Amino acid sequence: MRAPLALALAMIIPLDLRSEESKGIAFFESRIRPVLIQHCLACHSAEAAKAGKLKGGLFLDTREGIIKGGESGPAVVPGKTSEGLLLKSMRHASDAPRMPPSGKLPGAVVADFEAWIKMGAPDPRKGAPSAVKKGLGIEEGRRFWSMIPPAMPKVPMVARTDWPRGDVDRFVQAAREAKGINPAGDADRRTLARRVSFDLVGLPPEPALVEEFASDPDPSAYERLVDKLLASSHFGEHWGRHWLDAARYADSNGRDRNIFWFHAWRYRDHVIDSFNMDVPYDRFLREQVAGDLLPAGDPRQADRQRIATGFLAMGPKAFEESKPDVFRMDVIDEQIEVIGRSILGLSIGCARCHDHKFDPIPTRDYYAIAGILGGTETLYGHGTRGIKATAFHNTALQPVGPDAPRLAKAGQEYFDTLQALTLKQNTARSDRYRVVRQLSDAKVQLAKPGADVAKLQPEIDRLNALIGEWDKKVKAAEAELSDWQDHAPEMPGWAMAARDKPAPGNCRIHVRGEVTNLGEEVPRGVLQVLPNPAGRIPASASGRRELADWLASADNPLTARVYVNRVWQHLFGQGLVTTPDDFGVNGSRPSHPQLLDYLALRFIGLGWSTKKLVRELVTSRAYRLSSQPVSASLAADPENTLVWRMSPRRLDAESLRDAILVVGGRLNPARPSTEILAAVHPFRHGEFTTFKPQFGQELYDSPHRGVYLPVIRGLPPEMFQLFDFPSAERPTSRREESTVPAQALFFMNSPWVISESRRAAAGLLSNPTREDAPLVIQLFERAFSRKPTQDELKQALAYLSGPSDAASTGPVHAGKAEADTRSERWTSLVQAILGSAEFRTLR
Amino acid sequence: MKPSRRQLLRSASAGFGHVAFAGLAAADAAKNPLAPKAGNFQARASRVIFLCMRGGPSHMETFDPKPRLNADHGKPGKIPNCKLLGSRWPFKKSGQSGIEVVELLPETAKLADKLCVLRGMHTDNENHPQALEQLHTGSFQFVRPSLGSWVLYGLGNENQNLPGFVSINPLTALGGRRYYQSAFLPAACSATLMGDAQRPSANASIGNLASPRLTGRAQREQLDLMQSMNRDFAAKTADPRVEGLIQSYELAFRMQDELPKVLDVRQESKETLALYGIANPTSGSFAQQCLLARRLVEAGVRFVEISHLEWDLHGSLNSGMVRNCAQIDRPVAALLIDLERRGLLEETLVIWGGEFGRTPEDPTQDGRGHNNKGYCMWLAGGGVRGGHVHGATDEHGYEAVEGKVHTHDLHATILHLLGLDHERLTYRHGGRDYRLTDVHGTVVKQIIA
Repeated sequence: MRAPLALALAMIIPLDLRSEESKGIAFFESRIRPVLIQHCLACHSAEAAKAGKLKGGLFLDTREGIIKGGESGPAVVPGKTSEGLLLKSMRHASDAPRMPPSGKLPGAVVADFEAWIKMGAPDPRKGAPSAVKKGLGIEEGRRFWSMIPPAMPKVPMVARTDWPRGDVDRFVQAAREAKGINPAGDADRRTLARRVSFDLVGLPPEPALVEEFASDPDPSAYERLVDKLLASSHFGEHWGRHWLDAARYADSNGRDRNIFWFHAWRYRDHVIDSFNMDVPYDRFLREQVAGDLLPAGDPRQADRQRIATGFLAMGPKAFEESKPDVFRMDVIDEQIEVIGRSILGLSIGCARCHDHKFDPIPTRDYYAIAGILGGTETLYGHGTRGIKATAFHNTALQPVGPDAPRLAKAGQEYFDTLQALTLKQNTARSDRYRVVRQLSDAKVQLAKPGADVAKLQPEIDRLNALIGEWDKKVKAAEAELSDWQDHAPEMPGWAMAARDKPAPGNCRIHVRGEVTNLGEEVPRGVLQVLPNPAGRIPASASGRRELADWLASADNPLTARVYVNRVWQHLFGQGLVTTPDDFGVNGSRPSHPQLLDYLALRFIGLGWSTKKLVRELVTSRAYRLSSQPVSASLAADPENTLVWRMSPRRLDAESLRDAILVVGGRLNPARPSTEILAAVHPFRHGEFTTFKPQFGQELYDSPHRGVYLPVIRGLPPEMFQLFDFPSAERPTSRREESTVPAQALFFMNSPWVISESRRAAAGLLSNPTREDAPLVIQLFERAFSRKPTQDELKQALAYLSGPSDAASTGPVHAGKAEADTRSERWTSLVQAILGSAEFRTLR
Repeated sequence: MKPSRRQLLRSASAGFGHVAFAGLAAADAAKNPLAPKAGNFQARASRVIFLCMRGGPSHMETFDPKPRLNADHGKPGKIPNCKLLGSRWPFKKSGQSGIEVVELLPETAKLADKLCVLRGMHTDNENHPQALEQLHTGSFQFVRPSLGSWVLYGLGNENQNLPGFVSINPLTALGGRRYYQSAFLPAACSATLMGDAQRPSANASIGNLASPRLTGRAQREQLDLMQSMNRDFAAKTADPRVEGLIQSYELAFRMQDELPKVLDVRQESKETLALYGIANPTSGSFAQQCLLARRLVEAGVRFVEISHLEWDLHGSLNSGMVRNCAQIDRPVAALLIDLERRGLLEETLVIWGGEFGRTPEDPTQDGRGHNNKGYCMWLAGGGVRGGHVHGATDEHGYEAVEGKVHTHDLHATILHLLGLDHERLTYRHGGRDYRLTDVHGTVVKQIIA
């Protein structure tokens, strides 16, 4: 008997369900669908999408669309009224966008929706939401070339076996052979010496060294030269600068409040030192992102690691922003952008407002990382001078140095008081000004015909007296601040840095990037698309340590690839991937995919050593190619994608400047003992303004290397601005190479170029010889690392024998006039050499 | 229809000839990145003068009369403790079109029939730096190329002896340089900055324009020596950028001759100098800028921006409006008259306006706050409808309610007038195609003549 009953039940239940369902559908049709049509579908339907009016990526015109939800998460979870955003939005809950935008719907309508969701949200509207998604999803993304972990490729066989010096050359040669492209010959030794010297240390080689190398019969002479350059302290100055580009390093904030960062230099020097010490790149990255959280052997190492986190603090900030939440999220956004572009070669920042349009980065991944950075406090220094800015800005910096424990407290209190006194002064000024405006208004009233003098005059007198009182208060506040500024206590060293907040937490999705439009909370984490997971983040920690480990992992398919590509680019002119900060869908594909993987894995195998990687690349035959064109190859591959020659490259701004100082004999190769910025009173002048220029071009006139000039955003040295020094407002992975007339005018007419030319000419002429020819040879050796050809020598001598270029025309002694003629003519010759294409180019 | 050079390049770069063509294009671009180019379609204007009114001029005290606001003067406003503040100055119906212009701008009013007033402007941000950045680049969050850079990139420069995008007396503080830069566009599209907002505009020029030590002859001789070495080097390296460098020296050499001539306003007739009010201590400085702007566009410069700085009138609205209007009125009118009589107005788009407007209410009753929801600008010449008013704010002037024109729409329209399609003027950078208008912008067809 049992079986028939079970059968009967089985037959009954579906019937019952069917009737429940039809009731539900009827409810939907009568109570829900009309509301959706009237209030929602204009912005949340396939038609809205077609018209470009879709909001929040949310479709409410199919059941699937409602359940899948939009950018902020599911709209409805059938049966669960406490979940899903639709009901929250209709109720105008604080954690959901308030919908519809025209105003809250009547309570009865909301109750209908609640009942409908309890029923399981019955909805006959079939079909998938018509979201037109162009970008890659997570699963597709995992199959995208750059997200697949590199695999060690087999080193290819080549036909011309005598060409390669090593495996790098075999990959290059094989790719050329596949296209039938012939390489140029090898570069001569002088050219090679100049090239490798600028590439490794950013300076021209000593002429004597070039001669020695050129005539050295030892076949390993080149390797010895390379090792010497790698060991030079100038290596870190040049390669550290590459990283500083990517880290948008600066000594001032830029943007609306261009405050000086008097302590940023510690980060700069740390980066230079790290490259000189050849700190393994994975270690280097961990320190950049989470150095403060890593174990340290001794206090000095702890300081070094804290200083490294200045990486997170260097971003330009909108100090005029009056809303703390907006400010906070903008800082986080900038950090995500710099981490994404510089380390991963991805524009994660695009996912702030919507799922990434192209790359497999959903908005929730953005906020997973934002949660980590949200639990991080950025120490960017004492606040600005404006009222708005001082109200909620952090004055804290990281104390460092052996005396830090002793001095930090008093120092920090000094900053806090400095900020409070600034605020007090500014408030007093502002309050006084309010009275001034009242007075001016009263006077206007008084001037009107028929004014009530009897009433207005006493008011004016009262306001005048009030202004007198405010004058005293303002003066007192100014004096107090000024006195405080002049009596700074003994300070520890300060550094810009990052540290964990006491109570880190998760971040909620900001729908369309708006701080007032909060969606669901996202657990702290990393990008889902990459195959290496992050470590579990403890509830009590920000997760920065785990983020750093994840970034610097050998299993992260992007980090090593992005880095070796950048190193390749610095040495060969263009990367194997020509978009060094975009390894995503819109970035270019590698010209030599196997070589890129080989280098990435080789780099990891070499212990993430930058110096070893650089050595491997510059000792390849590919690097030692001449830049002389081979006409068939030039026609077939004009952009030199297949590396059939060395691409000619422009000297960057710092190398060009430093090289000019070298020719003039003025470069001081040491690190400056005092910061140039210290010439500006650190506690008086918090901000650069054009109203009171406290930092003029003259302060840039230092004999030290360009890397040590302060980077004042918006006010770079004239020469840096003209020669494509990056703006430092955002990470730069590849510098521009512009050619504009203003550069030509600089070389033709700038007093600086002329004075350096005159200095170089005077140096040459201090030689007792009266012969010009040996001096011309010297000049060529200094400037071009080669001797002049016979024609060039003849041409230069002919030029030198031309009429005087002396500016002064008055009567002078015959002997002096002759000297002037010669030195002025020489000045012109040096200037022509410095401005020439050969001097400004690496070939 | 004959395809443009850019279309040719684009179609060629997509086809099999890509590699060879890319090389050629690179060589060509290096030789002359600013060679004149045709736009996407027939242009109405070929040059732009942007009169940038920094600080946000009040719309209800210039070109957007608010009788209802005047009637409601002193009544409570929308913000607590704020009272509505009527405008103190009457407006006059001017010209045949009867456009109402405040009596503080009598000379400009005479030219009402030339003006196309946009009363429904709105923008995204109410802070100066961000709003100014959006006005110039379309974005207040990211570093993007300036409008002038886009125009130069799209159309090239007409006079190869002069820079194509000039900003006179820019205020470079408060992030100002970012408003004039080419960002990811070729660096040659950056503005050449002349002078500085903090100094008298009579001194506006560019750096290193004259040799402090060599005569023209001696410098030519020096340049010949250098160029001879450069040509040898170009042959050795087959590097198109060396060609570019050789040419940039020649342009620089020519600029030394031509630019000082263009900047020398003493060459103008007495009548013209008087027309602008150069000698007038009130208007002289702005007059100098207006006259330089005319001389530059006349010489073929593509995009010129000049600045007036002091429109941020939170206090002293009365005296400030009187002063500012007196400073700009005659020079601006003179610029329009002068352009027209030289036959330049037709092809020169003149733009007047600031980053936003002002609020109709204020606690002090002698000033106005920032208002990005509604304000006005005007355009003249360059193919726009003269004597026309487009759009409106509400009766008090709080926000645009009719004929709304967002900054992106303004940009789209400016490009359109120049023969450029804002959706097709793109530049590939960091893996995606960028536009001045991002994914926004609608051309305001109603204002095109």
